[in-house]
Amino acid sequence: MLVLIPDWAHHYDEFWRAIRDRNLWFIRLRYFAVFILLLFIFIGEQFLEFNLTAVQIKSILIISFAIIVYNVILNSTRQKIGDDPKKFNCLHISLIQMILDLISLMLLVYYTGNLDSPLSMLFVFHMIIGSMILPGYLVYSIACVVSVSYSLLFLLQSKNIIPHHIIAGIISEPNSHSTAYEIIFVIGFTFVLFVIVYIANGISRQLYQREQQLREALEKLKESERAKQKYTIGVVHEIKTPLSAIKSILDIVISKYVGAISLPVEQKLIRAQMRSDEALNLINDVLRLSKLKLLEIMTPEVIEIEKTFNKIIDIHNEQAKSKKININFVNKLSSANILKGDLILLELALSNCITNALKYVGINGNIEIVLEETANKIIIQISDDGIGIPKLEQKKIFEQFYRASNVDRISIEGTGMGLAIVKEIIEKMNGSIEIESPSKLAKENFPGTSVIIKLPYETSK
Amino acid sequence: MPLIAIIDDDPDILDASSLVLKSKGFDVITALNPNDGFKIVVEKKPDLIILDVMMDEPDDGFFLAQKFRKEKIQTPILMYTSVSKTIGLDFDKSEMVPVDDFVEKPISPDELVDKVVTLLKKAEERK
Repeated sequence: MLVLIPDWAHHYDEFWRAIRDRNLWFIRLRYFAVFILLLFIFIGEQFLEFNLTAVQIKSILIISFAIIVYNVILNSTRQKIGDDPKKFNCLHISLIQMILDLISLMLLVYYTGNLDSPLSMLFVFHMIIGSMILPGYLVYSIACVVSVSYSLLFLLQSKNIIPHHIIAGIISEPNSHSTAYEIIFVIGFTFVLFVIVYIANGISRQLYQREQQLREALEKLKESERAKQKYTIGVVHEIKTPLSAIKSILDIVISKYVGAISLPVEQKLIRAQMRSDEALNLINDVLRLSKLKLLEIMTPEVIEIEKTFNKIIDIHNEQAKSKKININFVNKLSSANILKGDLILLELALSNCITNALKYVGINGNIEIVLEETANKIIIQISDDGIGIPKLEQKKIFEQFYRASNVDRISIEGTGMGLAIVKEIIEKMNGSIEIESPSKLAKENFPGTSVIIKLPYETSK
Repeated sequence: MPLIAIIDDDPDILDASSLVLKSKGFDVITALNPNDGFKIVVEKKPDLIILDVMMDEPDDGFFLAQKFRKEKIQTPILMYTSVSKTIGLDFDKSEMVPVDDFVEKPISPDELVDKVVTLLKKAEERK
């Protein structure tokens, strides 16, 4: 099998996708072309007095019909074949399309006057299209074949072996060209074809190469991001080890395992314990996020979203009660759509959102969780009537270590990592997350926040 | 009184853990590296082994646990980790890791005592 893949198309996936798209595009374009051709003939006959002969009209109709037929066949084949470079693939379809088109066009040109045909300049299109898809040598060969067949038609016509078919109504003096003119025309025509192939091929080659360079750069960027995350995990882990030891020692001293301590000393030690807890939380969050970024594979499983929420609400119930916060859970899901993803990660993300809401809602506050759906997505909306987030900072809160300026840092502890983790998880599940503040529960002085998470349902194949 | 072997390369963790366990009346032996750890377990035959997952090398603890099981030492193993729960994905109580339970570092004294008592009880029942 003729291997058509150009050597510069290293990134096969993208290359094949482009070829497939173009094939489909050409197939659609071809129906349009037939329509335009028939329209052209109709208008020509009706208003411009083309005076086509019966043979011409019949031929054009047959050619149009043939184009439609092969277009339908191409379309159905297109859907069936794959992109294995060694087998019959969509690049071969492209080549076949081009050859069929050229034959049709050659016949059309012949039946509308050859050198005098208004359609002869359409060959230029084919050269450009071919250059975009096929390897250079093939397009040059095609250009050669077109020029030679074209010249052959002239030759056969001038020797009167095959009849002339001019559009009698718009050409006053048929067969008035000298042989020299015909030769010059063919040479000029060939020259134009080759120059166009040269230019178009060069441009598309450059474009592909640039795309490939971009891709490589992107790949390197991803690699360095991974290296960075690994480094972060390493460093943070090294910091965690001594900190863990400090915390363990503080714990046993405070728990009086070492012996009695005076009250003032104990108070200071409890303070130290709190601060080391803070540091450890931060370290754990950083580790978690870095690990998430490194994690390629998730274990997808069917998630029962209502059950998941009930569990999370249950876990946070104690905390909610202590602040007299009312958690309202509304499930408007009805369909049997299946949500798939990594349950542990999703729990972590949703739990983070609830914890956030609980943190920033005052006593007697409200939290509302609403589950809704569109045709292919589940929408999770977690709203509260807490302190809200200033408009200008709503984008930044997804960044690592960012804490909104209206947070009282002394009374509300936090590492500024929570939402960064949530975002990372939701994006890994191909979902999206947005923040709205004020939320629909907004009260005076308490604008509140809504977190809106959209997750795609499993599409049935 | 049950004998507990603690194997960890961090002397402070060793110190803190033995202090807690001794105060609850357990007898404690310690080792600072996998080799010594293996030796004391073979010689003293403790009732429970506490093992840190990371020592000189990241997976030292796992390898040592596997080595114990290969040598037919069925003593319950409690593993100290500093990553497991944080990440929640690294490992579980699966067959890959022949460990009976995990304790997350930093170690809370109460949790440690709790887990030790539970594991010893389970081992007793098995006999």
